[in-house]
Amino acid sequence: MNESIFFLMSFILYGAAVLLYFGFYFFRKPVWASVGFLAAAAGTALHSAALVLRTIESGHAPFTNMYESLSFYSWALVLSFILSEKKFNLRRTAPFILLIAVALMALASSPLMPKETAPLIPALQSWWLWLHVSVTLLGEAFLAIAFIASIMFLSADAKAKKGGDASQARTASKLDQISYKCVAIGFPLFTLGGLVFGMIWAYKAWGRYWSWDPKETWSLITWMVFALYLHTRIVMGWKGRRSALVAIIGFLAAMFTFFGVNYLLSGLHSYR
Amino acid sequence: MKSFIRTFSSLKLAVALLSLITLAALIGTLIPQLRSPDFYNARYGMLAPWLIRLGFTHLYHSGWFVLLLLLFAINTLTCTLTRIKPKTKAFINPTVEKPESALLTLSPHDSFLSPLPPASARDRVLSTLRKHRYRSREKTADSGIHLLGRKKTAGRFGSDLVHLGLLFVLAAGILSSLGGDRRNLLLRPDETASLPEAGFEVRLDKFETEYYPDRRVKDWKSTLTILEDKQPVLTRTIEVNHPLSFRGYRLYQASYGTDWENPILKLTVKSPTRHGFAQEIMIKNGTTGTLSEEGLEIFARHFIPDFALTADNKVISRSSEPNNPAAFLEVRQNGQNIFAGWIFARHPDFPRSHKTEPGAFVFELTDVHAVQYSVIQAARDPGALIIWIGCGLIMLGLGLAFYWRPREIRLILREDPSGTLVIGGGGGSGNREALTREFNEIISGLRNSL
Repeated sequence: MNESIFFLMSFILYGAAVLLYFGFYFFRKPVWASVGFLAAAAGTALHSAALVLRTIESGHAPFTNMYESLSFYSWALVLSFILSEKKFNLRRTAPFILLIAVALMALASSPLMPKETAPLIPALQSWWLWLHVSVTLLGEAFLAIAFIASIMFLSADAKAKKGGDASQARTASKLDQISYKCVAIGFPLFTLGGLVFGMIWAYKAWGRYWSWDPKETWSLITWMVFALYLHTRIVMGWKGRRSALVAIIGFLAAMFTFFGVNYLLSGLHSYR
Repeated sequence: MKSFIRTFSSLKLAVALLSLITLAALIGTLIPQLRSPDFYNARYGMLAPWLIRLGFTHLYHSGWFVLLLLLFAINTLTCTLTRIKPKTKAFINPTVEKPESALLTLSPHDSFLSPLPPASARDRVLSTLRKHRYRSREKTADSGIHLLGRKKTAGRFGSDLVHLGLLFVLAAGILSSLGGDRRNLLLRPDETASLPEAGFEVRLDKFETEYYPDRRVKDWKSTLTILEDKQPVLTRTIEVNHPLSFRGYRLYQASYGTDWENPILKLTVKSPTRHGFAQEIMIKNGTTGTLSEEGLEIFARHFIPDFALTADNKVISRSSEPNNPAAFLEVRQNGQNIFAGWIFARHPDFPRSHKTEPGAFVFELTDVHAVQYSVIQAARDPGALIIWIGCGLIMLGLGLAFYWRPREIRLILREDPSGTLVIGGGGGSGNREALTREFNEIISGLRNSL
């Protein structure tokens, strides 16, 4: 069995989970959500197998080019969704979260992304590759859930303000809470993986813990946007719309750090 | 002084500075940094001199950006200091006695009547709080027995630890940029470079490039010997990701290259007029080799690894790979100049096709041996230790701030004709539902046992 078969099967299961959760979203039948959850969980199991096979085949961590990183990130996104579905009650946000995972996997399968495994260049031969990338992407997975919850908050909030009922306002307030709780997980993970582990590794590999390389700078920009999110929210009491907008900007900055920098800006981190 | 502190400790200033720094950092990634003036002139035209003068081309090291960082550091420091004093006071010596009305404004809060006398109710309350891992303080007043149970109180200092860590990080940045020593040592095998400030020398014993089966580079390895007073003290092989630490210095495998200045050229001298005549000779570039039987003196004047001509007929090397090796020879026979020109390893017929007059000899460049050199970065970074302390503080602080949320429960036990009136209220930061759940559990437990 090879990696691409598992990748394809998990892709199909995630797609099924998206449809099932949309069924729940529109028809409000809990059974749709339960089956959707099972599909997503089965998809994650197969996706995990795909990543393990990829690791065995290539002999290194499964996130050294864009195809691998996209696959790993969508895996981390679905995993973080599965881990927090019950705790944060993510059933209404689920279709959109999983839709992002499916879209990223579709992007990964595009012919533009080279898929063959390549041996590691000297700079990447380090255990820090595992720690730096996996913890960062796991953190960014939670930031993605916060992003979805924030967008849904804006829509629910607009409806509630336009004379919606009390349930709309309750939904909005729950979404606001989900967004904050996910930032509370994603932000420390991103700080640890992206910045701290990144600096330790840079110090080992390049001799400097910080070089203002575009990827480093954009990680810092992302970090500062979420620092702004926390301060305006906790100390200045911003809730709701403004807070949601900052979370959205923060996630977009994280995604620019992930993709944009590789394609649009050049630097030490230009691994495609 | 007071107003200075007030200005600098305001959160609005912090938000403004953080936004400005974010914006500046963003601009710095859009304008390529630290390039030559020509680059900026070509790219930005009229704007270029302004960009350079305003520091946008070396933004992260420009005065105004460093000033923003410094202001941010002062802001963070004053913010933390002004907040930490009352916090520490409340941590060490909290107010235990609060009026009933204050407890009733807490959410959650509750009250019930117990038939037990206050003294025995107190003992049971304390043991219940202990069971839920609350540390208690008490104070007896006319209004009754006041109890304060607290747990995870250290969580209050999470944000302060993050801010302190941030100050360490900023201080480390300043130390690294001002106090460090960083240089690249270009070493051929058996060469020694001295690091005068470090008090030791580094010798390259061996340099090798390892390849994967598909010829991609797997690793560069330099075997280094550290010398003190000309005596070897340590030999270690370093590679990318595995530097060598010695006396506060770290030696990194930074780069590599081929020494095309001093290659050894292998030439074959043939004679079209003498069939079967072929003599080989090795000449180091820049030196003269002789074939004394023929009276030949061959001077290798230049060597180019990847020969190319520019539009105005200048000789350049297109790359540092030996894609088109070429040597310029000046040959004399018995004192007479007989040949001066380029010969090419890949195009041995080139000189003949250009020279109509057949010479007595032709020269072919059959092989080139060039030494690989290793570039070792030797760095002493006094900020490094401090930055790791800062990172540790930031992570510890984030952990405390998000996952060690302080909780407190206040109780007043007031004597009542029929026993004791118990009034309780809970508070804390973070998950309100979990807090309320625990509070209700404790109160209902007390209601049953008292």
